Amino acid sequence: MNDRSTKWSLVEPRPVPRALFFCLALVVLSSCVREDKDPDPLPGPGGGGVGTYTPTPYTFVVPPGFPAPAIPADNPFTVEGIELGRFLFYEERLSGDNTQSCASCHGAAFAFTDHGNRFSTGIDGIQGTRNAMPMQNLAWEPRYFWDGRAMTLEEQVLMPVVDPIEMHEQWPDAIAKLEADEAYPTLYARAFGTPGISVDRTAKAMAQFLRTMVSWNSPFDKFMRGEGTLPIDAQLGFQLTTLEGGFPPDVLGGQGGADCFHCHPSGGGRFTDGILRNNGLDPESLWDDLGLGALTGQPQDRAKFKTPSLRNVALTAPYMHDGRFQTLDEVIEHYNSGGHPSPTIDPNMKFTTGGLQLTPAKKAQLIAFLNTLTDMEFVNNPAFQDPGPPTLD
Amino acid sequence: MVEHMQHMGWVAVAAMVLASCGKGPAEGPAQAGVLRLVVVPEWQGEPLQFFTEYREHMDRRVTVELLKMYFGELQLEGAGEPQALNDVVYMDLSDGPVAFHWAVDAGSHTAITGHLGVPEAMNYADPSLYGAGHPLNVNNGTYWTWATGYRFAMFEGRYDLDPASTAPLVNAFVFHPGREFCYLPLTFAPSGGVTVEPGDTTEVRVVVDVEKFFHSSAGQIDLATENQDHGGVPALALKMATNIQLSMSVE
Repeated sequence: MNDRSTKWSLVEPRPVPRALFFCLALVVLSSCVREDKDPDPLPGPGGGGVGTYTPTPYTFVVPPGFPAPAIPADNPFTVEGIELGRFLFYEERLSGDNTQSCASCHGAAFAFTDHGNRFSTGIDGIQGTRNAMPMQNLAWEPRYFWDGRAMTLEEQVLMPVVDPIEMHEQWPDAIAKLEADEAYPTLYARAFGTPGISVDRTAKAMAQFLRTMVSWNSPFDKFMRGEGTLPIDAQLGFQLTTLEGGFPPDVLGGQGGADCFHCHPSGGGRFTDGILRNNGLDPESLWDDLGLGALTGQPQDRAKFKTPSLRNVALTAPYMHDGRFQTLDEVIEHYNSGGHPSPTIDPNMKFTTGGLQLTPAKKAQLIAFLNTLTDMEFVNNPAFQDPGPPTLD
Repeated sequence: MVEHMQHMGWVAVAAMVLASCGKGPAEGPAQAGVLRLVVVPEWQGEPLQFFTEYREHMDRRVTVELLKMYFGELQLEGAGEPQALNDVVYMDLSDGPVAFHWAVDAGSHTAITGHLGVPEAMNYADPSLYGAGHPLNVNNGTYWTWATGYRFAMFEGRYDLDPASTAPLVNAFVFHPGREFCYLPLTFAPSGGVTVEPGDTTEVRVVVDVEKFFHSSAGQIDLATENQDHGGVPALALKMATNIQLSMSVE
């Protein structure tokens, strides 16, 4: 046992950290900024005020327990940019046949996943080969997609639109459709201060909106902030995630834990480090999707995929990059088995022989804990729901 | 080989330049130079190649897949008061050498000193205090858990106990030494000292011989039984941390 972990109480919530007070101060500052702003200085489409219009600054509030994220200097938050991004996220005209939007495969009610579907189906009826990733706390992610091929959110949001098995549209055609709309030209002008619809602006607006989608109010979060309680089995489940696997003397330093924390650290609030790994799903002979390896061509990158967050995991079935597991029980059983050894399996998957040997009680505690990461305030947040057709109201 | 310019170093240099711009003539010109610390991963005198098979001291086949480290409380020692360089610096050596830069007082100095690891106060602070770009930001993947602080070094790879085998290496070793007792002193003292001329850059190159991670005068690592450490076995953590400490030398 490490000496620090023993200080954590199973029944007493932790004291509210100083960082929380700092963040609360930011909230206050944010509201002050927004109160003073003229709500709509732009007279309307074609209005002469466009040239002098200044978008309304939006203060991104860093939740307690999260570090400050890196926000691109060339894409600061604005109230109007976020509003435009939200319309675009739900805009079906970004697809080739005007039937699919980003939200078609990333539904809010299920932490922005394609509920129940192992693979999503694009506008041409073609299924993809990877499960739709949840979308939350994207401002902190170091890279995007299961294979990490996008290094920024601005890059990421453009790719599904032109992907032939997803929205299958060409950007010039998509822009033309937006330009022909009654509201979008003005919405873009409001968001960026000058008229003009472009791919770059579209990416920036969508990225702004997606960065606002922060999940930080699950029962677990509230417990850690001293605002609520957790069932004892969930507390024990959390403790299991922070303990090393294995048992002495076979495993030096083994703590009989579930050993989740190496890849899903709770520190920093995200329950992922965003690193791409091979988590031992298959032996080398069965690798049919090389993930990062297909991107880089490097043998050491084969079968590596991005580590997803545990947040809202109870809402995001099925699981893994290929959606092979239907339930959290199956996921835990995979890790309990230790996975398949291979030349690229992550060194932290160290129980390929013998497994974690979790008891049924420990597995149930893990499930109880994972369920406390469901943030219904996040999935039901009105600011993230479908705003309907674009409007200047 | 690729060398990374660490943001903190450039920020420090820029800050020094800006600071010197703000000083009036009565204070005299700033006698500052730039100190450059380069950390070079090697395997027995050759550049370390990740994912390449080597033989460790017991003739076992090994590959290195990950090497990250922290240096804490770096300072430049000399005749006068030591000059603080950084509270903590982070390096991911997976892509080769890493370089840091600081604006320092010109003059004759003797050594760069510091520690392997993260100073205790920072180690056990709330990790959310460290935003994007900070050495202790959680995105570096070095934060241990919500309770136990940071891994001072992360050394991962694979091994095979059979020297005659040609099979792919599938057994993993993972060493993550940390905690207070692994916060070990470092001294980088070039034989000719560290002379910083005004306006010039002085470089100190520190070689990390990764082969020595497995053995030193402090002890040997036997991968047959010692292939995992995450701080739960203090003696093994300290042995690895000490081996890392002793693996470093100034070129």
